[in-house]
Amino acid sequence: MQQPGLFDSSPIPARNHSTSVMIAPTFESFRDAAREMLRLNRSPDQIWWVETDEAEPPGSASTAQARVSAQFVKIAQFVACHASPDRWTLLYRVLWRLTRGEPYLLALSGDPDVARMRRYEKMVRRDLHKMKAFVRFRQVSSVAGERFVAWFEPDHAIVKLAGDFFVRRFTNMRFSVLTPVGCVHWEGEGQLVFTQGLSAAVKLADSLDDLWKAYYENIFNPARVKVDAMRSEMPQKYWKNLPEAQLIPALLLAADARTDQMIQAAPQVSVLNCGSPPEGYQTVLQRSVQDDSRPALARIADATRACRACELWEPASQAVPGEGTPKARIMLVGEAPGDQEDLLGRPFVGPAGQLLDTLLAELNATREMLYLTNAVKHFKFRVTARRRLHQRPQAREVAACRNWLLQEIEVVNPQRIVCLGATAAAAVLGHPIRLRDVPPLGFELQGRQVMPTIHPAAVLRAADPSSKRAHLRADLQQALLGLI
Amino acid sequence: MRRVYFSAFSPIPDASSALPLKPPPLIREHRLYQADWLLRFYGFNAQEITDSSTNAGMLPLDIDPKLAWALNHREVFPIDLNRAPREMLLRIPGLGTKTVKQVLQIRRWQKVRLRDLIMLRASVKKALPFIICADHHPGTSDPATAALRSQLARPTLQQSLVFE
Repeated sequence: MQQPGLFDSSPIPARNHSTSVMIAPTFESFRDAAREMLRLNRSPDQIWWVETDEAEPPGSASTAQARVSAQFVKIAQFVACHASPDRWTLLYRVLWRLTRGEPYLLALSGDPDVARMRRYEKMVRRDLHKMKAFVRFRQVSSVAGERFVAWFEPDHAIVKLAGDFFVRRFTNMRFSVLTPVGCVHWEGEGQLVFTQGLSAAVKLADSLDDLWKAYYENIFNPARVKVDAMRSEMPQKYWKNLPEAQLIPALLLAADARTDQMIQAAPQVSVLNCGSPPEGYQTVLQRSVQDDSRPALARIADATRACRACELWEPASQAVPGEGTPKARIMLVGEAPGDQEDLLGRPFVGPAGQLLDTLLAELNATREMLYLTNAVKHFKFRVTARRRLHQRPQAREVAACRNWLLQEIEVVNPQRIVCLGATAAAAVLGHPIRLRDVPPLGFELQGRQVMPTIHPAAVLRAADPSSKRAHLRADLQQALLGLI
Repeated sequence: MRRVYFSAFSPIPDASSALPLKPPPLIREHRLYQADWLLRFYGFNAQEITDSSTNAGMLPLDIDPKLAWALNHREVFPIDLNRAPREMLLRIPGLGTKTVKQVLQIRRWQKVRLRDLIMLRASVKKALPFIICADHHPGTSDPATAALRSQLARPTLQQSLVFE
């Protein structure tokens, strides 16, 4: 007769009823054996789990079914890799309790069995994580070709779990990871090959070790030493297979001294050794304006670029200086640059400029024979939703810019000045005029002939372009007469 | 911006003298992260953290920000692990989000005991004065806040630079 238990009615199992169960040290083998034991209703203390390599192949004997949560299976797969010999007993005990009246057991994280199972799982996961971080491959050449080989010493049998990671990470490398608990080999394609673990450590080294160590030594920050954090992230048990770890003790010992040295070598002045600050745009322009060795027109152009006499410089992209033959006999003065001129920095390149080019070509002339400039050197515009609309410069702005125009006239010294539009004529003459009041031969100004006419843009805008065009063409023809 | 990262200044060779020479205590970085976690995962608001900071809004370096808040709000404690809602459990010093989640799971089935906290690897010493559970009560004789603080404060760490 069996003795009743103290706290419940179940009888205390007799010791001589305990059985040895032979399993291979894998999760699958344990699972099949445990199903069978559950079917036979063997309580955990009746079973003695024995690991052997000659166990029956998994799945052969078991037809029994046992239902447990997927959560348990997932944890058990990790726990099965743990090195502790009591893991099978632990797993079966939890399994027994889950199937015998405590289905909620996994929720009780404070239960000693659950806590230990969770701890084992965590240890295996951590070991797996560290293996991914601390495997150091070395290149090995042999008759079979190049190969990357690593020696690693994990605490638990995690090589099978880690294999997939290394294949994903180094798919096109042929590699072997050798450990005491199993080896994994990859040929760059096909299937992963697992072999028995090696009992003796493999010594590996390659030419990149020194480079890697030099890199590690140089990125080590002596002012940021956290020994505890370092020891936790990079446990010392892994150090012997990490080439850079040999440097750590010396680096740590020198850390304080290096920090002190930095403090003592502190600079006494508050100026960084970067030289003087770079010169501003205005300074550079001013110097080139005053440089006597440069052509006068180029100096005037730079002066207009630096000009701040009116407000137009600010929204404009750049100043548009005059261009053409420096000793031209005919000078063409427009009103102000337009959108295209502003972007390119050259006068008469927009639609009006193209019309001017066409008319000049009809009269057997080109713009290279002339000097072209504008009364105002910056683009004045109003921003609309789609474009920048040209605006006529005011008398104030024309007056501010007149200085540059007069200097250009003086330097180029043309015999004839063709003013395109009333604004240009007013700028050249110094007083406003009406185009319809202009005498046939224009005005006389300091020995020069000033011939105002309409602006090419007026032709483009006109309701009757052909007559305006003829008017402009006739005026230009007269202006070019005898001088081209 | 999903989250903030803190990095304590560390001196570099040949730096400008406008920069400080000495690194700040690295624990400050840790305290900032703790405060950030309280905001992101523990339902604290910024006001609560700055209110319990000591001098001129600086986080205390010897105790963590949650403990600092708990010491300033002794009237809320002790909190009963078996009854309090999740928001209150998250306020207990020494209990993290994972521990709280597991405590809530355990108490669906059975009373939470001190043994559970020990098994969960919570900071039991830190939590003890602030909790009630099935086999623990901090007692009616409240220790003075200052005494409690000095008892729970982090000892000044001497980093040993040599590995044994």
